[in-house]
Amino acid sequence: MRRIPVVFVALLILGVAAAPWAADQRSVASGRAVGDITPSFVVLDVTGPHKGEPICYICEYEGAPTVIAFFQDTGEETAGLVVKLNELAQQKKALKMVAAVISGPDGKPWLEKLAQEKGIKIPLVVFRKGKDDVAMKVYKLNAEAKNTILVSINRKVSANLTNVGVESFNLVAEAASRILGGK
Amino acid sequence: MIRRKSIASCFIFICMAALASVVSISQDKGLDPKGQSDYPRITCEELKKLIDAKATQDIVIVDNQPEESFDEGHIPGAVSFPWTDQIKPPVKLPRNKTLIMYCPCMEEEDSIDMANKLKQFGYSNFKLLKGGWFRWEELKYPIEKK
Repeated sequence: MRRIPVVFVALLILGVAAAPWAADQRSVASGRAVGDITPSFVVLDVTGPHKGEPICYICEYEGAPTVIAFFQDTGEETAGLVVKLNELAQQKKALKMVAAVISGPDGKPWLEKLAQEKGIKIPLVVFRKGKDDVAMKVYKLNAEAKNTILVSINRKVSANLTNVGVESFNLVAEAASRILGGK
Repeated sequence: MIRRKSIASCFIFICMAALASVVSISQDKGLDPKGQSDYPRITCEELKKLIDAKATQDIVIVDNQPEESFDEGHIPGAVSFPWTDQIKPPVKLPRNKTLIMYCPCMEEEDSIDMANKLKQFGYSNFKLLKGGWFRWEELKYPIEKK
């Protein structure tokens, strides 16, 4: 008879303890909403065709189907996702891509090494002023989100995915397939 | 007689096909901002000279960056007119002056697109800033902040 309240209390404690983690994984809002335009934002190119220069890839890609990935920082999780993005770009040639590290120019050597070791072809870039960069405001990026991935076509956001993990990358691939229409 | 008729109809068919392809090519060009890049250009050096000489009475410098970026820095005297997918009237830019458009783009893509859109509102006098905002920054020319 006593067991029922004990189990109930244990479940309640577990629920309360897990709630912030669950919220962090799912409900962090970051990035421009679906239907919003994708305005210009200037980054410092690290490994792309404009290496070492400021560049607006979004302007260059114009209305092409595009994946814009913002990563809060460098690290193993970011590396795993960059590899996945690169694979996706290789599979879907019509898809344009840019992966930006928000934390700033300090991430340059890490990105260069990653591109070299993993054969990354998509442009890897950094925010010129780190977390103080105006692109944080322009793209409504939340500093609490580990990553924000926007899928766009005709310079309009068609999917907004936050805190994506390698295991949930299929959501990005599916969103990209939808805008490509099977191409 | 039948032969003449068939030659004539063949000729008409070829003419119509040629006309259709010309129309199709010109329509495609209209949709592609890069295909409409025949707007005249002005260099940063030339614009700077106009600003320095206070000879800007016949021009308006139009900044196509997002408003937040404009607030952080823009060419002195520029007005903010951010790139958008659809311009909403009323457009408050003067029609009797040359609009000098610039953006943070390598090949003025956003400014070309905005000039194409402004044409639909009766604007026709544009110049694009060659190299745009990047070139202006590179030359370390003065920047105005809001």
